[in-house]
Amino acid sequence: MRLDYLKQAWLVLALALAFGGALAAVQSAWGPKIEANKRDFAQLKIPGIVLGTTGEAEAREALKSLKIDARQIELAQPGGGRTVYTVYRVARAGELLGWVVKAAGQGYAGKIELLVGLDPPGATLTGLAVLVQTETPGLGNKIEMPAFRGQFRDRPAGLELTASPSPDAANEVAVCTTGATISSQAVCDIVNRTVDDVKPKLDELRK
Amino acid sequence: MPSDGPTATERFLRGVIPENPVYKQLLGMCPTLAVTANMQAAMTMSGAVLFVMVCANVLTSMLRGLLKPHLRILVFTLTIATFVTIADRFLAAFIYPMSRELGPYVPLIIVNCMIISRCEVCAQKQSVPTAAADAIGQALGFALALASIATVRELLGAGSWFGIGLFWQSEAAQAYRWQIMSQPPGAFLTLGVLLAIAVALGAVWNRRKKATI
Repeated sequence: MRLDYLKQAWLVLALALAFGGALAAVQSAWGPKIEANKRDFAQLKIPGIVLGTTGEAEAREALKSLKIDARQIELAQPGGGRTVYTVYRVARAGELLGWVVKAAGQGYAGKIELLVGLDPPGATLTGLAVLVQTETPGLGNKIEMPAFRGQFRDRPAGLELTASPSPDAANEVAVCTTGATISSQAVCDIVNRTVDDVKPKLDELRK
Repeated sequence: MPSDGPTATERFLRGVIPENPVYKQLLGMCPTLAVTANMQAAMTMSGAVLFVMVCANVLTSMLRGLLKPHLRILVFTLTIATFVTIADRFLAAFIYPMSRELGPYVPLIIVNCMIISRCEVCAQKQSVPTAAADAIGQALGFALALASIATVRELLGAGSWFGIGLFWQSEAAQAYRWQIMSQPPGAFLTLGVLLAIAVALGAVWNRRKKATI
């Protein structure tokens, strides 16, 4: 009986092995380049978050004068497991301009990766950029739009932010579009968690 | 190995207009609606579909003597998924901004009926050259359809073509842009109008053909 299964399925098994090998080769050949592209993309967002630059050319120009040091911090979570944050220390001519934290969390359709900006004392949010998202096109993917992201700029860090269709309280941000409350709230949750986790560690990172 | 059915040239020509995947078969609607806001995205998607369709058709045709009927869909899916992953990684490595713009629509080529239907209709029955010609013809037909929709949408929505500003670029003219054409409803409107034109032209063509006979 088992031999019969193998006779039937040998082609599928052979193809699965061959394709697996081919994809592993593709990943090892192009993986480093893809990672470098992601790093460059993230770095280009940093001037916008810290200095408020707009446009790629302006960001590239600003990057020339910035000194960006990346550090990783690992935190144990109450429910078990560990969370790793990459924290970028952004300085110019020896003066600390701010912090940018790479953080991730679950959205409606998949993982959302963000860059969250904080001023030097860690008291105010300076901006937000979306690195990775697979939210619903036309709805949740509007978390990338400047109109939504701009709402986080200059908010006090530590406010428990929530997404609302009609915001009126200081801790409420407008949803990115009607019908995308979960994606909008997911961004708020990631920002809240990131600030809670990273803010107490900034003094250590200053040293 | 038998290879019954239309010749390679017939397969190629049929895919471009008479059996156009978008306007005649109404297949591949997801990318047709989602990535036609501008020509660059539409042509990148067309290139990815061409690569996947040619590779999947050629490999399926090469394996056609070994395929078990009840496992063939599994083999098609496995093959298509592999080549889609390669196309996706290629875009992420060499055209990263476009890879971000196309987002999940490149991985979604895996479930595009247009590609699996060519494996089923042609590649599993016909020779490698015929399967390759069929894939190129169908992919070209798909590219033409995407180009027609993207041209209308980009011209009316942004006043540009391939990102080159043609009109409505001045600040005063911005108010006259059909912004809806750059948004999802614009894709439905354009596809509906172009589909109606394609059907009407097809009817005229058929009437003339019958009249000459």
